[in-house]
Amino acid sequence: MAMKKAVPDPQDMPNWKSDFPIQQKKATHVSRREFAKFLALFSGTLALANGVIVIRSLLFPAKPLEGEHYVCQETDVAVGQMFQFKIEGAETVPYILVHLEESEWRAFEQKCTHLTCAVRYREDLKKIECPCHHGFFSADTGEVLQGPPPRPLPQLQVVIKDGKVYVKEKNA
Amino acid sequence: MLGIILLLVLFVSIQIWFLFGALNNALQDNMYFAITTFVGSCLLALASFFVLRYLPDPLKAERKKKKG
Repeated sequence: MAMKKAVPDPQDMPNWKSDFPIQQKKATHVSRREFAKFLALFSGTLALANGVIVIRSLLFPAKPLEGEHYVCQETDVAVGQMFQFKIEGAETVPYILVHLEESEWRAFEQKCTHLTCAVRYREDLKKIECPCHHGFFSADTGEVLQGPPPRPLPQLQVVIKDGKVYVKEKNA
Repeated sequence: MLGIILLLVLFVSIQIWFLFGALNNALQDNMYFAITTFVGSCLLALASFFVLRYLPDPLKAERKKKKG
């Protein structure tokens, strides 16, 4: 009775099989060892990414707004209404100007701090709302009142001169 | 083996949390938090590489003897 060969003789194999001896299943299989090594490598990558954030913040800090920027006439925005405007700089940033009460003006960045959706002022709630994920910010200070946003809205200082509305960097 | 993988998954989860916090605080000019999380993340990464020392040796398939 002929014994079945456990290891195929290379001389009996066709050329393509001897040139590519690794089976596809073995080539694509991920062992637990490999998975653990991958997790350790991913861990190193995350630490590196954290370092990049720190270094980038230290080397390239955010530039404050210089000078005063004209927005609109005081009479253009009624009490309880908001006005959208942009400030051109290194990058164009959208802002909203909110006329809270008589002589009470606020200016905030329009990008939600959660996922940069455009926020809007809700006169009925007296709050700034992000419609994407129902985040709410204080219309007075920009602090987060409700929802997923992690940080308050960046705020600008509003200056009224001769019936015109200007904005400048908020004093610390 | 399972314990090592679970430990590594825990380390990575904490690092993702640190990364998220560092990004938010760096954007808020709170550098101390960002630096602290960076140091913590580095320590966890070192711990992850250290844990790899305890991986069991791979099983080697016994080769069947060629029968001549």
